[in-house]
Amino acid sequence: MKTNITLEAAIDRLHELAAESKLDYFPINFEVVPIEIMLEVMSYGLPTRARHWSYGKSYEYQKINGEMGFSKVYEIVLNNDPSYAFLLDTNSLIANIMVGAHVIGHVHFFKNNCLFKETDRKMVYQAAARAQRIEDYIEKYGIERVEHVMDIGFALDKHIDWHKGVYRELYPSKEKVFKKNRVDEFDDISNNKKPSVKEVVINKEFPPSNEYDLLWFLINYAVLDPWEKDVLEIIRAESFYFYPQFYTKIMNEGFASYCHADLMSKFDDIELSDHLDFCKIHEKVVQPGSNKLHINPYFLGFTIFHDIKRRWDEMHENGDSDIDGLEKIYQVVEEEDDISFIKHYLTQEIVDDLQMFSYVRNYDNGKREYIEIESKNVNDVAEYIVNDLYNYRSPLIYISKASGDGIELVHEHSDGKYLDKKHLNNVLKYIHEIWGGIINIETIDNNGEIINFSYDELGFSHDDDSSGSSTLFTGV
Amino acid sequence: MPKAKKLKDLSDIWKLKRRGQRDSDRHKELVKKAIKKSGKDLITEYNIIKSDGNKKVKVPIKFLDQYRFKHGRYNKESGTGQGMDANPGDRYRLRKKKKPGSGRAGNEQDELVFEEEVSIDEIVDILLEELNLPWMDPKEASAIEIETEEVSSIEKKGIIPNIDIKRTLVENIKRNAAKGDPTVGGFVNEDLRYKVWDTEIEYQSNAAIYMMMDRSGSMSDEKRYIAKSFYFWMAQFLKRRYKNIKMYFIAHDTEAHMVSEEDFFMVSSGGGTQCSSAFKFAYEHLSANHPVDYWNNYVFEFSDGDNWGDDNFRCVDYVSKLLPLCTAIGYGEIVLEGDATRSWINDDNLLSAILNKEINRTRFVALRIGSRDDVFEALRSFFNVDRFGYKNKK
Repeated sequence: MKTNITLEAAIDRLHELAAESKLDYFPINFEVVPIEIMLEVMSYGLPTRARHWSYGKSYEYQKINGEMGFSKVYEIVLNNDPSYAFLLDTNSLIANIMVGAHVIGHVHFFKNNCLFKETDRKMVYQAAARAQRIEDYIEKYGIERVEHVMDIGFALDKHIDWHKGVYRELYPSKEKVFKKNRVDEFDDISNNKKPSVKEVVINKEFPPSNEYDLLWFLINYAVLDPWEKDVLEIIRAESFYFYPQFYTKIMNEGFASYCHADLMSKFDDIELSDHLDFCKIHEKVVQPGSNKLHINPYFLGFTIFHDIKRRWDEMHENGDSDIDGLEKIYQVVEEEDDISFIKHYLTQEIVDDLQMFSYVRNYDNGKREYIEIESKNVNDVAEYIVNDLYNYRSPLIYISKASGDGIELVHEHSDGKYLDKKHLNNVLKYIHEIWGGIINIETIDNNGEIINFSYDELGFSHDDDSSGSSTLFTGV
Repeated sequence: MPKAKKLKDLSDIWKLKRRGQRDSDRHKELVKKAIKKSGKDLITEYNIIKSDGNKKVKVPIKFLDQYRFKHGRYNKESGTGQGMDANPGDRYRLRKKKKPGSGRAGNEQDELVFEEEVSIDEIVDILLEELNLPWMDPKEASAIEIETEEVSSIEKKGIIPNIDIKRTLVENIKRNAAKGDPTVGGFVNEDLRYKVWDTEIEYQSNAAIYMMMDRSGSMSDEKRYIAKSFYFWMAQFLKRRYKNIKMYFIAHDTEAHMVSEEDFFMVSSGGGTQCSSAFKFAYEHLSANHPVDYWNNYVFEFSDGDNWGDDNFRCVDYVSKLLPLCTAIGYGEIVLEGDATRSWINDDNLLSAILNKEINRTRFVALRIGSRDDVFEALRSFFNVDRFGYKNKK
């Protein structure tokens, strides 16, 4: 290391360069920490949030992974105003300068992306206050009980309805909605020449329409103690907070990588030899990866942003676009999420350049696994990339009906995927604990046939039992 | 434009307080609880049974599940890849390699198994608790200490070989100091201090274990594995209770032989079966070497019940003779579930049925074992019998 500069001074310099590039971000508190703290922050996602054994599991997992050399953490940055960024104390100065530039990119993304604009910018402090409340509950009701309610919360926290938002009004109590001109599906084959006109009272049903925010429904309509509601509400709020991070992984990492490459190329206080070091680290982060069956989001995002820059600069020069490449990038950062980003900006050229392909896993007659290349067409590749992103990577499940007798759940299975039975059993049990009655779910079995599972006071059962009585699964 | 704040140590906001470690400990605690709930599952765990029983063993333990709605393993999983000049329709085999860098974290936590080092002792604790056999635990059973001697007081009278030199010197100096001369010298009888031993008489803690097994051709690997699992834990439990243990391994077909532990579980022969040969051998050996006044004797025999008919009553005879000499006797009959070749045998004629009918004693038990899962119950039954043996003894 020849570069004669402190990290502090380097970060000041980065801020100047960022200003020249018109980056716009929250103030950032940089903290240089040892690996243990890094892993801790990573396991919690939000280091101030309430304790739960699952973070310990994740911490243990990270440690094992780290020991095996599986992963190298460079930075963690929190979406908050001000933002908090953690750098690793064992990283070289040059690595941490680069990471600093990368962090600035993330914070610009946090501040400007439309999904993130919906998030709570004081979450770090909120989480700390909520953690304190949970500590108080633990004190009062015991770790086992509080933990159990948290287990239930985490079992359902991927099932939120982003568009309805964190704060929602209760259902209108007696509103009746009439739906007219409903075309019956048999109208054209029955004797009716014109479509039948029906009046359907929708709100007779409860919930009035299919409810996808399972936690919200239970918090508001189940009989729970105030502290239990609070614990579940905390978990739900955190799920909303993390949602944008899940949906912008490719963009967020791609943009941050774009920023660190850009800022570092303008960073003039670095000796040449250090610059080579930087290039090595940069390549490690932004590389296709050795696993050909997996796409590194840093790499893909970085490549697409570069392509956007090049194309819009060109168009701008030719007078085909009012804005240049950089302005276009900022616009994309503001308006898109990963799904629209991939659909709009992944091009056939990029797919060809990176030799991207879509594939399926399958088994031959000898039951041996193989993969088959399906397509190299950009639309197919894009489709498969975004397929993995829908609905927090969880099965889509909604409540179709609820009453004192129980709850009817429906699993939307158009993707042909069935539900893991052991998990299903336990989650239905959780819901049964809260709601009582019979908790039923309509889903498919692994042959794609419709099947109903339910959980009541006798336990877990399904309707596909030839003997007529329900089959009990014990000890699952 | 935002200014960088000063680089600083962790501020008060974080108060991490080693939370990762704390929650990790909590996770481990819950995992251990989960093991306790299923200590049963460990009973036939290969790593344990194959161990020498003295050290710690590594048992595979799954991270605790966090339940949620989750897709099942989908056969036709799709994905996207890069960096391969492939064409639609091309097929590739997957080479499984355990190389870092592949796959995503998070999703894989549930499948990841970490190996936890557990001492056999710990598992014995768990099992004894689960089997509800508190009397097997030395903490409960006080009569297991062998004779101990320890210095319990210092007396002014005793015999010369028992003089406590240090105390005597101290007394001598004290006495001289009182006269204004704190030196050693001028011993008188008053200075002398003697060590005194208290002798506590405890029950002898000797046990002789006769582990016997049919090694005829019908005893398959699986049956021997079941026997081995049972004997492994039986020995572990008894080691808890007795300091001095003699183990004998007796293999038999129509004749019984004492063999090494290694041979015991390895060798099988092609011959027929006469279980009485083993009981006879145990009876003779035990009478000659392990008198009931000094020894807690345990005799157990494993067979698959394919015993020659006229031999069954000889077994009854020897078991009756052994009973007064033993703390507990057991017979385990391994009839694997779904073993079609056995359907012609009338259960009532099996040795287990006959023994149960003929031997009606609290210290004897005959068991039927259908699979590895039954080993747990078999241990419980056998050591429940032992409880009575133990009480009688006392």
